[in-house]
Amino acid sequence: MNWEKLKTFLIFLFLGINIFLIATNLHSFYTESIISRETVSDTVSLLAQKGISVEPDIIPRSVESLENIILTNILFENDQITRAQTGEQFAHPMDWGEVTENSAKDEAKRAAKRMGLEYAQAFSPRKTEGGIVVELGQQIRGITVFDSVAQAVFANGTATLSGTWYVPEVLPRKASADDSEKVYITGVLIDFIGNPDRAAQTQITGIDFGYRIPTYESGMSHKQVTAVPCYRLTTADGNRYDYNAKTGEYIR
Amino acid sequence: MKKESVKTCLLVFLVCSSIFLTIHKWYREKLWPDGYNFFATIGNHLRLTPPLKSTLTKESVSYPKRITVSNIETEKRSVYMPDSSRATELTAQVKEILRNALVSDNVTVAEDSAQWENALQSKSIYVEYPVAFDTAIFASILELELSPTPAAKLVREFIISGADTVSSAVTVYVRDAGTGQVYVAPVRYDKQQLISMIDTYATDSIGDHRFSVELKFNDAGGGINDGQVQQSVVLSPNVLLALREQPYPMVKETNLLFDHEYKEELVQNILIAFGFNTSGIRRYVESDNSLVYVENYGTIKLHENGWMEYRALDAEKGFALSAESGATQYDSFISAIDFVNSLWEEAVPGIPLNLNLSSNVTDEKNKAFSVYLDYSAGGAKISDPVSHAIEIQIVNNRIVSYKQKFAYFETTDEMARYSTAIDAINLLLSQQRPDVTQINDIFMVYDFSGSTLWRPTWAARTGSGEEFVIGH
Repeated sequence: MNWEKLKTFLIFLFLGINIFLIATNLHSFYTESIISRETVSDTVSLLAQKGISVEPDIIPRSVESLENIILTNILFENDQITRAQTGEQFAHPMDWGEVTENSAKDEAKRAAKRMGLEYAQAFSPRKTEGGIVVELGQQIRGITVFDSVAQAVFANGTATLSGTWYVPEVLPRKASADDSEKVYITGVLIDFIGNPDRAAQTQITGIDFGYRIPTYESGMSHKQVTAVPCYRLTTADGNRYDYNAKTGEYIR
Repeated sequence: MKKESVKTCLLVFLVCSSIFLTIHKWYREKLWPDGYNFFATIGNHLRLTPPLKSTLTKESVSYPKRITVSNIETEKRSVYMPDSSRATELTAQVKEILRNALVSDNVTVAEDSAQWENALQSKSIYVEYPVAFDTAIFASILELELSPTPAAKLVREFIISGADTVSSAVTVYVRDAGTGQVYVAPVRYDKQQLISMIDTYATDSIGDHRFSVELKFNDAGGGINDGQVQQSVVLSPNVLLALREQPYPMVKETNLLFDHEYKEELVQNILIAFGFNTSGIRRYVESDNSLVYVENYGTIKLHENGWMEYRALDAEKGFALSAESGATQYDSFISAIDFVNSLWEEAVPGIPLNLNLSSNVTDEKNKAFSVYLDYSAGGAKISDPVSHAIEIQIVNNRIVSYKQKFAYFETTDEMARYSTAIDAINLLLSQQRPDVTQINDIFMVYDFSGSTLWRPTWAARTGSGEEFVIGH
């Protein structure tokens, strides 16, 4: 038997098989993961019939399947932080230098870092009677944690940071094949039609993807919580509606 | 040759790549029927965990707590527990007689309490169950096919008597655990066989165990110094008193759920047993370090002290005990026992489960009832005044609430001497409990002694069914 010729034949055969398998895998991935423009258009039309207006361009056509993540309340992570009088919030003053409106964002991020508020993003600096106020949000690997919300107030040589903040135990990562439940945004938008909390006529002005902590009332402070990937719909009247991106459940 | 080597390497790579891509596509698209997992099936067949050893099963529920065989003529009396090797044949015969009693046609009401007391003190077999059962449910437990015609609605104690020398019938006395009324049921059974059974099994000295009535502790004025001292508490005539001091081992408790940290495998097994989807489950850690797992229909909370609590969000979303529609309360009760055993087997395989039933099994027409269970060790119940070891709330064949302490109790080499039942009675009388006027049973339990140790001590059950520790 001519082994060299047989080997050559087998190489071309398996090369063809590999190309075929790669092509079918990519095709499956693409058709499963990307929403077609036609689907988006149909969804927009259906919503319009039900009194909900939304621009097609703000509807994301694909998102990653992410795992849930475990977050630790900063109050239990850092016992130096002063607890606020209510709930799981903190209100922690620090001595600080002079801050201007121009430097406020950077100073706020610096203050957050000193306190251990990881992955803080600063925005919307403004001057008020009480001092210069900067809003702080959290983004981990580009994904917003909606429940980590704080504020930095600079006044009279003091920086006071207050709000709620969480520290991730594990960074967000793509869900495994076993855990790759995913609900497309178009499905969520259709579900929004039946949302009991929305106004009859409404306009969706923003669709964001991030992590949200479903409420669990136990009468105790939560040291650690689970955050689920979710879609946040923002309407023109300023209301927000969060939907679990894995199950489609409306999170109040 | 170098070219051939490269071709060989390339071919091997392409073959491996093809296999990998095929498996990836196969696994991702789950190219097998829904609900079928080839790998799980193989895993189940290869599992080598030992079979569960449980003291409470569908079969053992029908076993009495204690059988006392008395032969007054020869002054012999012996007491048998269900785990005694000699008790197997005796228990089978006793259950047969009880089945006949439940369907007896000529049940009459006892004229007075003296009939019950006399039967106890005659040639008889006194049968006690750990809790009271609704008679219809008890019949199901005894696998009685005929519909019972019960006179007593709630049963727990029976006396099988062969003392009637006139009649050739065997008589079973049944006391209604709710009303105290005694019923007399003649049964079809070979009297000679009963007499022979009593002669065979009553082998110890009668002085080792006495009924309260024989020592007059059932009479307020009769027990102490022959009526010269009035008893503040009377004992039911059939309270069996162990008169010989006997050493009992101390018992050690092991927390199976938490040891510096929660045992991850056990936690996962508990979640799976309750049907929780462990991938993507929501978990919270409270400020007291308890763990809470939240699913759409229920929550499971775990505590560092070994307690596990399951709660359904509402009754209709509770954990279904069986898929059968029209399940009776007996079906639900047995399914609950099976669930307890399977949960233990899944959660802590290889560890024996020693359980006692601690709540009456009554017929709840609205299909909502509770089942309470307690651990035992060395033949005695582990008595925790705060809670039973397992508490289950069932509504319409669904578990709506389940609470269990995941702990294992084993006897140690350290022995603890305890006083006799008479000393326990004296101690009880000296405690002057104004709310306690009648005692229906005195028995040994394990009471928490500190750290992880439990100590044998006397306990009592009142006429209203409450249990309390007397002391040692």
